[in-house]
Amino acid sequence: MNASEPCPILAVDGLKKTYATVVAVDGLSFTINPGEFVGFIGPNGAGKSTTMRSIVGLLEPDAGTLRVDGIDVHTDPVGARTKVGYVPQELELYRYLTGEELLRFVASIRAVREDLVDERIESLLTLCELRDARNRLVRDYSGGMSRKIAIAAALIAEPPLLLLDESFVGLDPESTYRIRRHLERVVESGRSVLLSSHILEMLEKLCSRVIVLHKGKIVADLLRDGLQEALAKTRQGDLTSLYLELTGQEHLFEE
Amino acid sequence: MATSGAQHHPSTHWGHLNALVRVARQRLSHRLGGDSVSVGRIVTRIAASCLCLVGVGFLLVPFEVHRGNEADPGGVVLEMAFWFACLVAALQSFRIMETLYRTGDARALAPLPVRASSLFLYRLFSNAAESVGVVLGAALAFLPVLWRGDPGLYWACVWVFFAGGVLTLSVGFAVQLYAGVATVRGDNDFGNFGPASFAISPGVALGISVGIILLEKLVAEELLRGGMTKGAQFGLSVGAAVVGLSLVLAYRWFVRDFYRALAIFMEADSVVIDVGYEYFKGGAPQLRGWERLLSRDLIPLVRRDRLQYRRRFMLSRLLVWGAALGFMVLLLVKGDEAVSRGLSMAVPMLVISLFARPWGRLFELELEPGFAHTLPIDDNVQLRSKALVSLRETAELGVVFFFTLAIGIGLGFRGWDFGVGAAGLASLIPFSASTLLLVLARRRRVAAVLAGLVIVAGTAFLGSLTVFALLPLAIILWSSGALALRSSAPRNHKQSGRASAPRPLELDALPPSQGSER
Repeated sequence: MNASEPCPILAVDGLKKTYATVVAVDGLSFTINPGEFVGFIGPNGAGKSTTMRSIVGLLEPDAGTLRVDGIDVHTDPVGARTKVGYVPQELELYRYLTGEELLRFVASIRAVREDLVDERIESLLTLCELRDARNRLVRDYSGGMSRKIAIAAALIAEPPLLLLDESFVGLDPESTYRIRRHLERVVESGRSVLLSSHILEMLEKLCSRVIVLHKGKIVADLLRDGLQEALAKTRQGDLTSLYLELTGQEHLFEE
Repeated sequence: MATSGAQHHPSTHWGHLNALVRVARQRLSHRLGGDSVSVGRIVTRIAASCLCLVGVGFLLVPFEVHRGNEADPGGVVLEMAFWFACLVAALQSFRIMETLYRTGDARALAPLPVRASSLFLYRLFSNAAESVGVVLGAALAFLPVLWRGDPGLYWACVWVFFAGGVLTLSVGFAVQLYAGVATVRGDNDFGNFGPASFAISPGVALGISVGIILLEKLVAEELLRGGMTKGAQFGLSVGAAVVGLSLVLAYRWFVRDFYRALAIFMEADSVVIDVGYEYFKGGAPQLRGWERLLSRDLIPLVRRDRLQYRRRFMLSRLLVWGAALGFMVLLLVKGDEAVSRGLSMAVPMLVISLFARPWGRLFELELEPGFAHTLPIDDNVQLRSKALVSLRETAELGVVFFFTLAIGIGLGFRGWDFGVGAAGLASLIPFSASTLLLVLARRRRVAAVLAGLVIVAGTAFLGSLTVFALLPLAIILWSSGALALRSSAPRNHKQSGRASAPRPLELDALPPSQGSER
């Protein structure tokens, strides 16, 4: 790597993962640099969640290396996790804690400075519109509220890399807008986001780069300029068209 | 680039441990009802449980046949304590596997950067706290030994429980973490089993623990004979060495490879049954065995519930088999010297309640992915399915006890006619009681546990009077359970044997644990 190039916050090299006979991820390689907002798209089963779970060390890959801010996930999973805020598709939260207790717990595990904890909790509860529900148990939260508290927990330590797996599912438009704006500010501050979503219109507006996965492989990795160029060549000039073409589903245009 | 490092202080080992302990306290407090929890109510429950345990002890421990002598100073009572310690060890071993890899706590913590050293101590402390509770419970059940004026023997029994608890804890941690490490590295015999080694490891840990508990029982006998002999010193040294070495190795393996082992376990454990498959598939399902007796809408649900239960709690059933065979050996070797009639009647219920508990577990399982709630499946059919599977599983385990008890009693000391009769009734009790417990377990877990203890005590009491007294008990249990189950069915669906309109399950109808963390 050239000395003038920024050290990637995430480096995935040759990642491979097979479930029984199904190849979920097949030799995936990409890097994410600081300040990038990367959209991760692909059909169901393309390997998005598998990749994200491997990055956090929740899955043991069959092959390949994963480095977060230079830390090898394989040899130092805890060290790598300090650099990542992760919101999984299927939430696993402490259901018998209140929203505020959950955030305080994550803040203490992630070693957020004591004098910053209260301020961060207030601002995140406001962002996620959970101030009134702060003293309610997470088990009593709705699906959208649970997702918002999980997002707040991922944001509380301001980690350099955020992994959001379908994190906007079930959120109301107001919350979606607020969190989108917040993520834009996160990226402006030099941190990075890898967002997996099927809401392609949102990704088209938010992302500085889009990675398209299909059958466990990258079929396109486009920066914003390249993306605009590629979009212009598609049938309808949007990300949905590009996605359908890249994943071999052009026939849907005819239906 | 703005890094967050400037805003963080370095996380310390004790900082993480403090956070984990604090959050465990908070969760417990919320589970008990938070600020509204009544201290009086908790104290009453604990007192009731203690009384039940002492009562069970009075009925189960065969004091009347305790004939300690120089050759066997502990007599039958110490023998009982040993077997009881083994039973507790089996529970502990399985519980260690659950807390290390499977509980909701493990899954909630998995993506967080918790220091492995802190997490190890937290897991060890939380398991130790549970073990202390179990050891205290066992010590309470043996209080009648003290009551009858044999303090030396009582403390010898307590020693066996204590040693069993500590040994199982340390050996259980070491073996089950070794299974994880071996699976990660795949470079030895354990690792060759792949993720199956996680399922095998509690059994291996139990086998080792039982061997050393036996040694500690011999130590207790030496102490009863004449104090700290060389034999006792040797036994104590071996026990201490095993505990120390196990903990050191467990710590090492945990810090080195736990997170990777956890990842492999979670992947293997995440396989779920496709609930809606049979429903959407349509057509007539191919009927197997007892399914011919069931209505068509019940069959896919029964298959689902049975598969879920059997896969999720495979080890529990193996433990019941092991306990049944162990008890048979005890009956054959010791005969009526070691085992009262009451105990032989109560053992199937006790063992099935402790290990298998299908009437409770079927309602605790996360059976349905969300979409199943949207299928037009009658709530009543769901309840019937769980009840049927619960009864069937209990009956199958009862059959195991029928054969082992019949052989043990018949061949061991009482003759075949008595053996077969006693075994038949003893194995019928769990089947009958499970109907009642099924209803109670859906409402309150504590009520179900207390009811289980009362049933065990009642069984032992009646069994000690006459074996035929069990028959009315079985009938009463079965009919009251069946009535309660019937009255608890959702009224607006009672008439329906067919699928009704989609309707979400009422939260009140769910057991308290259904929404709990796994």
